[in-house]
Amino acid sequence: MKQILLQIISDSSKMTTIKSKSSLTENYWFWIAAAELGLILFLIAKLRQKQKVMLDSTTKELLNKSKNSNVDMDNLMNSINKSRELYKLLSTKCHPDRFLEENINKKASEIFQEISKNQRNYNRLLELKEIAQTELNITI
Amino acid sequence: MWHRLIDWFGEVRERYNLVRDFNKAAKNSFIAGQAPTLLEARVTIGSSEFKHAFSKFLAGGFRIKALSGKPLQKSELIEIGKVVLDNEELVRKLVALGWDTLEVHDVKGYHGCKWALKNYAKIGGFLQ
Repeated sequence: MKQILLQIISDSSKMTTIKSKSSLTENYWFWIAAAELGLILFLIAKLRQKQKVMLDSTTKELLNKSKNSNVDMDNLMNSINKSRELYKLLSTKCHPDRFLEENINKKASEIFQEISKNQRNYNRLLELKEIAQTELNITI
Repeated sequence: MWHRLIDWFGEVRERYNLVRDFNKAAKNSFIAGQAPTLLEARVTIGSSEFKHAFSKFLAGGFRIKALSGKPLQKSELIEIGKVVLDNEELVRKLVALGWDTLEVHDVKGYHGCKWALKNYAKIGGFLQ
């Protein structure tokens, strides 16, 4: 009888140590779950904040259009590398002060304005070079 | 829900395609001898002060970095940035796909220039 009682006491002490260990690990998992919940709530709040931006239909259309637009990267690279020199050349050759005749002077000032507007767009500058050659009778 | 997921994947693909196209064009012009410096586009964190309504979380920076060749001067870095910013179509696309900062960096170090894309994208007045 005494032996049985001793065994019961030792069993109960083992149980308490296991319980305390399990409560520690439970605590650990509890904090991880709480952190995850916090993260999820933060992301939901951010998403809601984003949804608050109301766009009118034209802006939405413009946005979708610009998302799917094709940008000419070769033109961009040419603009980075070559547009500066071409702009300098065109702006000196097509300057309105070089043309005294009224009609041609008017055309030259229009072309010059267009050149200044597109000074970093290589393809457009090439087009303007062609236009200048034909309309102003000059060789570039 | 599915619509949103498809949109999200579509955007990711478009962003990847844009960076890939830029790098391909830069590589081709460097190989052809038209460009003295090889440029490369990368996605970075971006600047928090330039954020707008469509900014991607931790991926709002579009960095153009010189990889090799002639080192760039500050005026050249600014010129590259201005060429990109003058291309309205490209700026709109960058903003629509979640980029908010344009960065141009030289070969060495971390010195460079940066611009807020929202100041150059003319997509209505919603980018606050």
